[in-house]
Amino acid sequence: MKNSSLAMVVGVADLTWQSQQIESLTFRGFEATTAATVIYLSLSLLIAWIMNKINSRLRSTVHRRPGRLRSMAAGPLRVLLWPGKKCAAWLAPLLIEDPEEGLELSSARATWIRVRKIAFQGFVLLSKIIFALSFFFVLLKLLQGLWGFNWQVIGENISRLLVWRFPTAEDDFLWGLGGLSFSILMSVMAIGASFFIGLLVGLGRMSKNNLLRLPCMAYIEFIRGNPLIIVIFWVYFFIPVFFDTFINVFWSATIALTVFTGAYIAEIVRGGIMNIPAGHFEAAYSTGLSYYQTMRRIVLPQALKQMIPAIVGQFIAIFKDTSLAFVIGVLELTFVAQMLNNRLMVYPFEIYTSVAFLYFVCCYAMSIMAARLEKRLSKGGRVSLRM
Amino acid sequence: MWRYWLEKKWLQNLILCCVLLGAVCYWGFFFEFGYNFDWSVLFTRSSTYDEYLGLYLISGLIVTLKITLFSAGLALFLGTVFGLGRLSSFQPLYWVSTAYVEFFRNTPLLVQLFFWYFAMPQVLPENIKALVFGLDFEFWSATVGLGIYTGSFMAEVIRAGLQSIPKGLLEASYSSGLSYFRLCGLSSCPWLFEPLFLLWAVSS
Repeated sequence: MKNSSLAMVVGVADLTWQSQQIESLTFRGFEATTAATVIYLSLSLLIAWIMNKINSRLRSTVHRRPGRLRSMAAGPLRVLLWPGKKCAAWLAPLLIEDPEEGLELSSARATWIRVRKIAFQGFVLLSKIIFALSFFFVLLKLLQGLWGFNWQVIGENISRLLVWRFPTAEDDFLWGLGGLSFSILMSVMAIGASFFIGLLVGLGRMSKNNLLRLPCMAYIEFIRGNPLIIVIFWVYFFIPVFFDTFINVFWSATIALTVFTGAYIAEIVRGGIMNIPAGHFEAAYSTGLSYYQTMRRIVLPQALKQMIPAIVGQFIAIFKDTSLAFVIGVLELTFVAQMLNNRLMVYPFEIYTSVAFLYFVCCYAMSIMAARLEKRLSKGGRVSLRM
Repeated sequence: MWRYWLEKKWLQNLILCCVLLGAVCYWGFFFEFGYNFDWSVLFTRSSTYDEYLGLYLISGLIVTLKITLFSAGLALFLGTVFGLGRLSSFQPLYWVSTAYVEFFRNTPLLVQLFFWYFAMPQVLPENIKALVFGLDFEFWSATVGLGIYTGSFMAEVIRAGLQSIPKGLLEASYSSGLSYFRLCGLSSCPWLFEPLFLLWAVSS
C-alpha cells in the first residue's frame, strides 16, 4: 500500500498525487500533506490490525484445527475443479486401482500403468525442453537487444550519471555534484545518523518508563505508517514553516531519509535485543551492573552482532530509496537520468537500463557482502543469524 | 528521590501531557509562522475551481487501494511461481527465478516504474502501442511494475518459508506417496501462511 505512493511519478492520480494536486492548485502544501498523512496512517494501522487478527487466528487454526483452514481455502477451488472431478469419477475404474483387486494386476492394467508413467515422464521432459528452449531464446533476444543499444550515448553520458559535473569552479561543494555519487553520499550520511537515532529510540521503546516509551512508540508508528514520499514532503514543507528557515533540497532529503530509516532501525534494534535471552539481563543485574553497564558490556555487543545483516539490508533499502529524493528535485541518479532522458528524447531504453544496472551493481555487491558477513559471523559465534 | 517519583505511571503520563500541551501552546499561540493556515481548503467548495478539493483526496485513496489490491494479487502469483522456481532442481528454471529475484530486489522501484512507463513503449510494435495507450497506461504500468517488484520480495519470503519446513515432514510426506503438487497443497500451506501474512502486514 505504501509503495503504491510511488505510482504518482508516472502520473497515476493516487493519494499522494492528489495531495500534491491540491498543493499546486491552492498553494496549501501543509494542509494537503497533513491530510494525506492522516489518511495513510489510519489506513496502514487498520491494515496492520487486520493482518494481526488474521495472523493470530491462523496461528490458532494451524495449531488446533488443521482441517479448517484447508477447507476454507479449498472452497472456491472445489467449485473450479468440479468438472475435472466429474471426469475423474468417470475415468476412475480405468485409472485407480480397485482395492479388491489385490496385488496381482491384470496385464491390461499393468500396461496402462506403464503407459501412464511413460506419458507423464515424457510430458515433464517435453515441458523442460520447451522451457529451456524458450529460456535460451529470450537470452538470445536480450543479448541481441543489448548489442543493438546505442552504446555511444551511454558512453557519452556515463560521467554525467556518475558525478554530474563534479570538478566545477564553484565554491559550493554541492553545486556540481550529482548522480550516483550523490546517492551514495546521501545514503551513507543517512545510515550513519539514523543508526544512532535507531539505537536510542529502540532502547527507549523497550524501557518500562512511559516517559520514554510512549514518544518512541509514537515516532516509530508514525513514521512506519507513512510512505517515504510523504516523509520527504513533510521535511520539505514543514521545516520552513516550523523553523522559519530554508534549506537546500539535498539536506531536506537527507534529513527525511534519516528520520525515516531511524524508525526502521529502531525496530531492528528492538528485535535484536529481544532476541537476547532474559537470563543474560538477570545475570548482569544480579552481579550489580547498572542499566548502562549491562547494555554497554553485555547486551549490545551480542545484539549488534546479530543485527548486522539486517542493518546492511536496511542500508541497501536506503540506497534504493534515495531515488525518491527525485520528487523534490535532488540531483541524484534518478533525477539525472530523467533529465538526460528529457534532453535526449529518443534513448530511454539505454538510459534507464544503464541506471538500473548502476543501482543493481551497488546493491548486489552489498547484498553479497552481507551474505558473506552473515556466514562468517555465524561460523564464529554461537548466535544463529538466520533471519 | 526523583527516581522514586519518576517510577509512578501517573507522573510519567502527566509530564508527557504537559510537554505535549507546551508544544501545542508554543506553536499554536506564540510562534510566528509567516504562513497563515487555512484548513477549510480541505472541506469547503473552492471558489476558484468550483469543486470540493477534499474529494480529490478520496478519489486518490480509491486509486491507491486499487493499485494495492491488483499489485498484491500479481505479486502473490509471481512470488509463488518464482519462489518455487528457486527451489527447483531444474537448472534453467532456477537461473530464471534467481535472476528475476536478484534483479528486481536490487533496483529501486522508482527506476523500474520509469523503465516500464518510459522505456517499455519504445520497443513495442506500433499497433500494440496504440492499444496499450488506450487502456489507461499509467495505471497499469504502475500496477504491473509494483506487482513485479513486490513479487520478487514475496518469492524470497516463500522460499524462506518453504525452507523452514522441517526436513522430516517433507520426507514423511514423500514416503507416504504424495506427489510434489499434493505436497505443496497439503503439508506446506499452513507453514507458509504465517510468514506470508507477516510479509503482507509489513509490505502493505
